[in-house]
Amino acid sequence: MKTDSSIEELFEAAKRHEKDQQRQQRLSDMIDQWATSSSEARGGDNERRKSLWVPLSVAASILLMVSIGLRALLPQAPSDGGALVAEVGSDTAATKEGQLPAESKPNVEKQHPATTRPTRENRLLAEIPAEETTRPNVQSDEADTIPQQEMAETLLAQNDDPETRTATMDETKVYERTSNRLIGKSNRAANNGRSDDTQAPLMAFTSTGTSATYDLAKINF
Amino acid sequence: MTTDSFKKNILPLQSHMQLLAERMLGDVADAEDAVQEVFVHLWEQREKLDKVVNLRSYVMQSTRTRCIDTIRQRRKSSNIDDMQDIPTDDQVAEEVELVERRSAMLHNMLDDLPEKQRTVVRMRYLEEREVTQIEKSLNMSSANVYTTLSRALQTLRDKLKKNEP
Repeated sequence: MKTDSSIEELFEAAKRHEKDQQRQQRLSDMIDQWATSSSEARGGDNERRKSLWVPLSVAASILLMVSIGLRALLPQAPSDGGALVAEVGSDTAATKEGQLPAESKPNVEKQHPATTRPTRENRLLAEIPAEETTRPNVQSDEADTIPQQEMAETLLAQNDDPETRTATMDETKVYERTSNRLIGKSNRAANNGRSDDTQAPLMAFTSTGTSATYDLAKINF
Repeated sequence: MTTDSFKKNILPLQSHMQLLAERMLGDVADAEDAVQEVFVHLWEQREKLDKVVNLRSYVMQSTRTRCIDTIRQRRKSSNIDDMQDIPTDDQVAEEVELVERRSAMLHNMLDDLPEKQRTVVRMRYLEEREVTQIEKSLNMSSANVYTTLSRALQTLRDKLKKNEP
């Protein structure tokens, strides 16, 4: 190794090199301190995160329990608009039939279809073929179209014991309208000089509120 | 960049930074302060240092910028264009390499000296101790210390001449 340096330059270089080594050692110690302080700062952050985690988890658990409780107490919200319409319709029909509306009890079947046992009515309905359950009630529609005269005659024919029969309000009205028409007809015939055999008691029955006891035998048609 | 990686890659550049700062600032103490401030900045930015392609150039430019700021603080009217002798990174690297080579050469020559001469020379010229301190430390007389130093320097000069072309 050859150099043109003087011995003084060698000493200067050696001193400089040693000082650089000392400075580097000082800086290395400082870096260790910075690393320690930064790791402690991160540790402090972790401690703060841990201290925050416990109350946050407790609050989340409370919120979860409250939401579960509210879902159990409140009626179940429909999943879509169609389900809402169908459910409202079924509730209305049930109310008409004198049953409790569906709002008074939670729809447990929809929430847990696999675990809920079907009721006896549901089992019976399931056994009935679909044709029977979906067949429209034709009789009620036809009853509305039966002429009043025909209905009156039918009811009269079905009356086994006219002395004691108690008619319903609807039947009473039908008979009342029919008898009034017959009485009017009889009066018009009497006024026209026809036979008097139709002038038997005009008021053959009396109405007493919701039902009426009448004596059809006294009516002279 | 981890702490170990920072020490491994950045810390050896300290001598380059110190020499550059001394050349620019003309003062060893100011240069040490500037280098330390650069190290603090680099430590704070260590997460980004992994993305730096030429780490030595980045570090040296940071040192250069720091020194320019120091010069501006010293002289409010200082113009950067007036600074003619700002060494480049390669010039600094060559000079640092020369220092390290000379230092190694001296230590090799010191190793060939007798132990007493080596100790006296190290204490006097490297540790820059006073002769009186050396006398007390090595329990030697003042004349004995000066004689030992004279003989050791002569041996070193002879060895140095043998190494010259």
